[in-house]
Amino acid sequence: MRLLKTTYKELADEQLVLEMQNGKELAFQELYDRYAKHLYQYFYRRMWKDCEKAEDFVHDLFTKLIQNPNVFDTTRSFKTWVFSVANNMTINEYKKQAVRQNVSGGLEEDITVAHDSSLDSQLQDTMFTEALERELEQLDEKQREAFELRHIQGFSIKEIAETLQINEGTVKSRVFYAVKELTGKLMEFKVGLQV
Amino acid sequence: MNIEIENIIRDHDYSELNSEQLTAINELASSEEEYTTMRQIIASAPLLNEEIVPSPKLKVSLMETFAATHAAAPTAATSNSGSNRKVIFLWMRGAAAIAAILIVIFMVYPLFNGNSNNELVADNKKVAETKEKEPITKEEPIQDNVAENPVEPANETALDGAVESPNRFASVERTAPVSASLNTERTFPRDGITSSGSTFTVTNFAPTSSSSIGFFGATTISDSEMSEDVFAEAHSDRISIADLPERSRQVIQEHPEILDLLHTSF
Repeated sequence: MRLLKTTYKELADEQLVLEMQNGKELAFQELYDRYAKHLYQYFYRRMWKDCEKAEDFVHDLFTKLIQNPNVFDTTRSFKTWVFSVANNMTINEYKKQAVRQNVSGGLEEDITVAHDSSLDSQLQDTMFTEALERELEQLDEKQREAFELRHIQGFSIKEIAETLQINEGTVKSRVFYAVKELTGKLMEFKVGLQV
Repeated sequence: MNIEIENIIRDHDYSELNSEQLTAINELASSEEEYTTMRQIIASAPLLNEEIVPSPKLKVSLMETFAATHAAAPTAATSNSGSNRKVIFLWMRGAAAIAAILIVIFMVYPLFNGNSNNELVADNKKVAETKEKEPITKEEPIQDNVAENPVEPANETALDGAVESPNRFASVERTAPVSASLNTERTFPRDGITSSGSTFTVTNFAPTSSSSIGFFGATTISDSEMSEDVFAEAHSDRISIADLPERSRQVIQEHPEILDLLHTSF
């Protein structure tokens, strides 16, 4: 008879993986709820905004985790580990694809814009966001990766360093140059808007 | 890019920056326009992820995969062992908590018991001491704990005359003075002070307890030596009849049998 009822929501990610290794379906479900959305967004951005491809990658990643749960080192952070795996998957995909697809108009289709486009300032904000997307696509791969993890996924410098297996100084440098370059490109865009 | 610089850009408009902050962001943004654009980039970046969620079918598919994988997997033993481990772990936690509580109780209990016992002993001791104690002056450094019949007034020092209690005291001779105003012809109790003409020999017994008066050695005291001041100065414990109030001395002189009572009480 159990003295205490386990609440999976209170468990850390690493403990959930241990429970999952013991066949606890609820633990896996909790883990999925925590990370599926973020991984999907990550793959969506990296896979040229292809929804299906992003879902396929999420499915593959979690399937690997289900079939080989012991591959995860419980002494590490699960968050940085799972994004490290995702990063490796995208790199492998890039190698398979010779040319990156340029997505045009994808933003309007897949992302709901909350602003009232009848207002000039809000229209400008929307257009700015779209431009940011485009310029981000054009960035150096390593800089884009670091920028997305930092400013889109909300990772700390340390987490990014662990995920990408680089030192923190390199992370800071990549983020710095990504922001610098995006700023230069988008200043020209804003000037163009004002014309 | 430094976290501090990011926070500056995120939290402050260009016009709100102080000189230190301007210096910090100078390397990144050399003009207000550049700073403003940078700020807009950092603010807009999180929005790029908004409203993008995987379809529910993805979750259903993965849950089926999980169920299928673990249904085919070992056995009740493995999954039970997992649950057994958890149950055992929970039991161990409970047992450890109970054991810790018991240990604390066993450690604390003797302390309370011991304390209460000590208090009892102390109380008994006090009662015994109170019964036997003769009222003493507060100035006296040594308390006499066997005074049976206190001499009036109450704060007088017990005489350090013949104290006979072979079981309690070791027989030693002392050098203490006895009386400054005693008549040289008086006869003192046989086992205390003896007089011969104008000299007194005082033999006292030294109590063995530390709280009692300790007298050592014997001395032959002449009248001339029995002045108040001499005795008061010479004696280490400063006990002498000369120290007694006038009334007490008179009483003792009138009723020397009091000394007998005092002596026998020892």
